[in-house]
Amino acid sequence: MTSKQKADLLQGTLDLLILKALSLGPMHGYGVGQRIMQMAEEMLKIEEGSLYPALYRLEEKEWIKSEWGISENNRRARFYKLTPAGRKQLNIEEENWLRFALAMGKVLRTA
Amino acid sequence: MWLKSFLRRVQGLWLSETIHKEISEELQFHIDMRVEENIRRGMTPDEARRDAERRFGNPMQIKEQGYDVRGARWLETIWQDLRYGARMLVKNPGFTLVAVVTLALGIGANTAIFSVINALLVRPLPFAEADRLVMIWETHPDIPRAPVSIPDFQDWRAQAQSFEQMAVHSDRFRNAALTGQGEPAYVQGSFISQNLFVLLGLKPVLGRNFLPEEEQPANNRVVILSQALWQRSFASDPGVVGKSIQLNGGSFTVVGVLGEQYPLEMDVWLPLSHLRAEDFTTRNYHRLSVIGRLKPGVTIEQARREMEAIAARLQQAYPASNKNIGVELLPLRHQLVGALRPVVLLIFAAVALVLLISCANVSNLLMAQASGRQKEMALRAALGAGRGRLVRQLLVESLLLALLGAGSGLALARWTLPLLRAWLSGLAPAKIPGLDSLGIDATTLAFTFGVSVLTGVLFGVAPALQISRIELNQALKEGGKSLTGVRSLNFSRALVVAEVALAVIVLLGAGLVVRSTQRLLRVDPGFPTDHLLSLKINLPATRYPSNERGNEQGDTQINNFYQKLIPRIRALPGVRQAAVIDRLPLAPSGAITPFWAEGQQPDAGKEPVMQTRSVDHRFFELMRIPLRSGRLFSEAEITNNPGHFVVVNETLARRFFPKQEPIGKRIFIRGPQREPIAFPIIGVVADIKDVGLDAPVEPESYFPGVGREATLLVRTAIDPLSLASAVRQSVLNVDPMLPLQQAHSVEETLSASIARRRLTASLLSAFALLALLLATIGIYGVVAYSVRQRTQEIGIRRALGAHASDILKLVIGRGIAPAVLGVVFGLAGALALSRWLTTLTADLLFEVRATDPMTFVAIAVLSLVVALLACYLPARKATKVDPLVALHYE
Repeated sequence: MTSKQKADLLQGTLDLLILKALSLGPMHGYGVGQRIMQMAEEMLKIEEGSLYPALYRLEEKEWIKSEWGISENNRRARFYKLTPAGRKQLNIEEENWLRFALAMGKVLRTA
Repeated sequence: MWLKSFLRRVQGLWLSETIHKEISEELQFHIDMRVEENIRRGMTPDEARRDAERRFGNPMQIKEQGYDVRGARWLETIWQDLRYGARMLVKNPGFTLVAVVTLALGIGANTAIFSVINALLVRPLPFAEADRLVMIWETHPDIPRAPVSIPDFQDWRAQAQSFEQMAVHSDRFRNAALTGQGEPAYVQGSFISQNLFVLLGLKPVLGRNFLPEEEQPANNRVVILSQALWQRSFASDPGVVGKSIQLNGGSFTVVGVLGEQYPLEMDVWLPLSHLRAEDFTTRNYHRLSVIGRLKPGVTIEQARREMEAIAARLQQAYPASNKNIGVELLPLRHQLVGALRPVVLLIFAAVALVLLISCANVSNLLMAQASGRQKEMALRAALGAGRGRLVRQLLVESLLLALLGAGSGLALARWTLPLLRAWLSGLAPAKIPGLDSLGIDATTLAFTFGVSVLTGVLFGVAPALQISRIELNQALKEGGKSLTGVRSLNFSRALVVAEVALAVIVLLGAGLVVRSTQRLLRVDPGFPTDHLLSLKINLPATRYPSNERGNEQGDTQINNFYQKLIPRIRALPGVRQAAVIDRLPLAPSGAITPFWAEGQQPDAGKEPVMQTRSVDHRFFELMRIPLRSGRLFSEAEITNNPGHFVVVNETLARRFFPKQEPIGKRIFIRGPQREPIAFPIIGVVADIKDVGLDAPVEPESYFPGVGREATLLVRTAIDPLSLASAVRQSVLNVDPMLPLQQAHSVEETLSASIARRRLTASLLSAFALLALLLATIGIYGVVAYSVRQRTQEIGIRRALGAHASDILKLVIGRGIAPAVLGVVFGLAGALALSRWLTTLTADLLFEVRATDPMTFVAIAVLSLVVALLACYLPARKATKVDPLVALHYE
């Protein structure tokens, strides 16, 4: 649909993306997907369904929590929200990821 | 937060359906949103849906993955928690042992007492649809539950619509002589209506019920035997049905044998028509116990209203006999075990408090452990465990402890059940339904499991929250001490306050009952009870008929029997005196007689009542009851046809002839035709405790004469029981055919009459001491822990020159404070509860009020002394702290 080339999602990064998306405020699963797309400027290819097992896993770890609410088009929807533990985790993973990306960049450029 | 997620997961176990639905709904929402978005962007609905589905991926697979996480994962983590928890318990065997033993005591006591409650008050009675069975009694102004006259019963049965049927029994065939089956034996018999067993849903194990035609006097020489009698006296003869047996000299044909379910101790049943003919015609003879089966759907309240209306109609129709007669309905269970209810519930309340104390103790143990686990917790938190996860982990450990405690508690309970059974049968002389089946059944197991889970949460949750509240950095840096230590110590002190308070309440309850029992033992019965032997005599009417005037006294076979017997007894070596009374004092005479004093005749039905007993002329001398005025009976007045006069006790004289000379005055009672009969008073004797040690003396009249039912009293110079067989032999020498019961010393009888109180007092005391022991361990634990925590501080104080006594004062002072507070709260709590305690212990307290200051002081002192001891031991250890070692402690 767009001319930009899409990258496959790297293993294990979806959790980070979800946490990042939720750091902007509570949202339902569909919205989380939309936010990730927008933030990645549509450069990432995500199988939208795979968001959900990831959301449940994060909830299990108590990094996010969920409750039923009403969506913008007045339907019952499950809303997710970052917990303080989740915010801490986001910080840690962000830092890790940036360091990792920096290292990868250096390696690839020198090669 | 953690609770929510925990609940969600617990739900997951049972409500996987819900989780599936929720996931489906959520995924559907996503797809719908995408379709809407696509349409907004200009796709056709078909295109939009296909695109949405393509982007989403395989919905089935995603649902499954989602369900794995939300529905099933928790099981795995719980399993991890369990294994981890078990490892922790094994790693600290000392801690685990103390905690499990503490819990086993608490849970075991509760399980045992609950199994009693279950057997007596919860489990259905062994009758068909027993919840529809009610006892129906008449009420009289002074008597809440009285037997019913036959005409009244017939009117009830004809008019009442609330009942499917009504049946009756009349236990008037007491102490009948069964002869012709080896040794003559007493049997207890009951006259019953033909439908009684049908109504109860009981079927004979052999033979059949009575037939309707056997209700007629012409066909009523039939009998049903109890299984026990059948085994005892007929060697379980399978051919017993159809045989003839001899009861009180008459022959009866056996038609059936009834199993063990009958709620009263009974050996034989005979048709109701064996009651006297006049019992069937007059409303003045109250003979029947009535039992009814409510129609399905009819409540006892509805039935009561109907029966009250019927009783009111009978009052109108028969004012002479029924003027003040009302009606009372009582569920059968209440009738059978109602008297035990308050005692059992009181004990249950006591053991519940003991369990709370156990919980407080284990909570404290967990707290003391906490400081050692700070580092572990901090580490786990740093590795990513949320606080909820930590709390859950700690709670799983608590539950594990509770379940271990419950397991050992069950074993303990099983071990104590025989003791409890003995206690219960000591409480009530009659058969207690359900007692035989006292044991640990599914209901009790469920109760124990429920209690242990509740216990686990109760003692686990506070320490879990406390321990998991970690300042991560600080904990890792400081090696886990300081702040949390102080905080948990405060919490532990609060627990000590609570458990001491609870223990004080239990101790007070037990103390009051013990003190009542002591008071009761000091009550003067009014005569010396030592060296006194009693033997019940029951002369069969067939061989000892009344005289032609219908009297048992006077010139009869009965009189001859005693004339021959008494000299033989008196001639026995070691015997001082022998006398005869119809029923032994210290228990109601069983003959509560309405009467009035000369010149004071009240309205019919409002007469005062007195106890009446028949005695011979030696009775007062043998009992050493002093004569206050007038004279006693002469020998001639007993052996010749006794006259119409009485000896009364002081209470009667004082109450009905105040400031008058009672001698020569008359009292009146009604004869068989309700005609007043005058009895001049010839003497006044001192009061004795006529109806029981714990009851006030009632007005009492002694009539001259001896009858078929009597108690032979023997005053001895030596141990009375050593003469028992000689006395029995003397009776058999006079009448070899006479069945005899065991001879008892009066002191035995007296002690049996207060067994209920004594047994309850000792059981309550046992639980109270358990409570005190647990509370003491609690105090000890906290003080010892605080000493360990402050070893360094104590070392410094020592180094700076503090004496051992200073350290002792310091430690004891801080340790005793919560105990003192606990005692104060406990006393205040007991005062606040005193009204409730008074009702609960009403029939256990005797001349002691629920706020008895002596008991309060004694319990307070006892608790404080024990608390002091619990503080002293660790305090002494603190004085042994070596300053050098202490300073290098870290």
